[in-house]
Amino acid sequence: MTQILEAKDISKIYPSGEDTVTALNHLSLSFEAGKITAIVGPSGSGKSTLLNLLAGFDRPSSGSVKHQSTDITTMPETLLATYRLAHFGFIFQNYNLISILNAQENVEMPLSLAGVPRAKRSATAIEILKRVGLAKRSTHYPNQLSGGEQQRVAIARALATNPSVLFADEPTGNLDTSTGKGILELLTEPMEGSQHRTLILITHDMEVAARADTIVRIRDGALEA
Amino acid sequence: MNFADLSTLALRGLMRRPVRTLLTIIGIVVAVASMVVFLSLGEGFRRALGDQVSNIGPDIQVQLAGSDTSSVFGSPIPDVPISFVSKLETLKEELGIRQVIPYMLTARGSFSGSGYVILAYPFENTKLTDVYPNMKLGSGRWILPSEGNAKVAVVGSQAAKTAKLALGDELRLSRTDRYKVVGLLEKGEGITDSAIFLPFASLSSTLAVSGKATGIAIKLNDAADARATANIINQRFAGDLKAQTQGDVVQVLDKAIAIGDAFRFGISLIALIVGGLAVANTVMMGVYERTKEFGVIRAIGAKPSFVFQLVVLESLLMALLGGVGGIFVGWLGTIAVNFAVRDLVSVEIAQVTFRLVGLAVGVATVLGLLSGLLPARTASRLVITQALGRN
Repeated sequence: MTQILEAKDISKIYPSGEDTVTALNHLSLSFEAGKITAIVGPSGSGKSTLLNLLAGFDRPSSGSVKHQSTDITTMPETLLATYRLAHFGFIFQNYNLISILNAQENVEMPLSLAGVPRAKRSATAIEILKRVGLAKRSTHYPNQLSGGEQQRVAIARALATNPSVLFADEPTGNLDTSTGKGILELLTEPMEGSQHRTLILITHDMEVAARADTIVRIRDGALEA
Repeated sequence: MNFADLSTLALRGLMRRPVRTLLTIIGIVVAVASMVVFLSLGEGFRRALGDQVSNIGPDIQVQLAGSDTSSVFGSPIPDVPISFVSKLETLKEELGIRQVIPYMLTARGSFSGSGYVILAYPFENTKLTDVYPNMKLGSGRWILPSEGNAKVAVVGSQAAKTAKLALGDELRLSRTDRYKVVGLLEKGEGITDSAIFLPFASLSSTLAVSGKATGIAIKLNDAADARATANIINQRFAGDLKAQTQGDVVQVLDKAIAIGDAFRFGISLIALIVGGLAVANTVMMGVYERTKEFGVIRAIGAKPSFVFQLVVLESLLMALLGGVGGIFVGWLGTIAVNFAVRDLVSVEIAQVTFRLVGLAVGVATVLGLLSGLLPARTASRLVITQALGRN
């Protein structure tokens, strides 16, 4: 299988008063294209820090993260933003939709940032909203949608630019069991041509982790043996 | 993202807190309106000056050297020896002078509205329309060449109102001297509206002045030669006379108006700074409230410059909306000012010109840009993980 994302010997050390806190300690990890990887571990184990580094939200104190052989840790901020836009999609635990935009406009946002013309991005957004079952709710604002619907919009937004890697941080964490199941099915359903998207998800829930091809366990900033 | 989408996003951002945005815009409206009203006074004076100068016929005005007043508001004390008239007339052919006209100027009352200007010319050889080409008689008649020593007057329309004079009435300038109003002028622009015109010799007698004039007006065959002719007169009569062209007069007055403009702009600058701080405060509060949202936008692929532009645009939109509103309210203010002083002065002292509108828009734009810079810098430098609360 093709390796799509690789973290090599990454560490993340935060200052804490006069001391420092090591959130990740010389961790190396790789992800295969088209596979679902679940990162599990107790609170404070470094899961979110790992995802921050893999997604390019933050830079490691040492080590590197490569996406398709491109080192994203040394990229200037402007280039990194463009890179994230083109290659990565994000789903957050608390949806993080933009409150002043309706469902369709939220989905169009990354396309708009990418400079896609209005008509094309509108058509793409409507198509994706159909796929997540929210075509009829496209003009609703986040505060008019339920938690499950907001997460579906967030998934649609993450899929809008057709990213090669999808990051999801506790995507079902704020949802009831049945809604969470629906969201999970949506995330893990095969792409066109029966090919899976590379999905890296963080979860506490072992039922969610069980759907992954690979489970990575982290404790105290390092891979659990 | 194109500019239209960015603008839509910025407008939506402002509409998130409509009351706060509206109050901030009202702050800008008040600041810009006060600036427009203050500076419109200068514009009105400037335009009135242009009108008056265009109504003043003389191409050159001559006063006694050392006099530090401009010729329009010349000293009421007649100090130019009348003998200079004949000396200047000897240069007629050489310098292309058409007419040399001594005049007497005195003011009655104050400029606050109860006053008027008395101007006297030697009507034996001068017509008022020689000096003021645009002047028109409303009723009655002009002063005749045979009335050089007569106690007659032609009265401007504003002066007639101020002095409560009608055709046939008498203007009393001393216990013994009464001037009969023989003509009333049509309402016009400038100084002639507030003036009463008398024969030179009659006024000299009334004021007990002999052989002196307030100044000497010179009409040229070709007005384009005014500058060169004035220079020659200044050379020939160095130490005795000072010749000024209309341009010189305008320059002196324009400088005085410019100083007034700077003073008034300084006052309105305080309001503008307060308005700018209000915009900066509103935008900064918006940035703090939307920290997470900016984090999301950055996370999904927006560059720091995009966030910077978005915040600056919000600030700019508020300032421009306030600026446009301020121009409109300021314009209403100038109407109110002109209405309030319509009986005191004959010119519209407050005027909103294109130049002033341009300045107001420019000031609002700069205000918006400056006010948005700090919040925009803060927003664009947000650390994504901190903004999303992911640390």
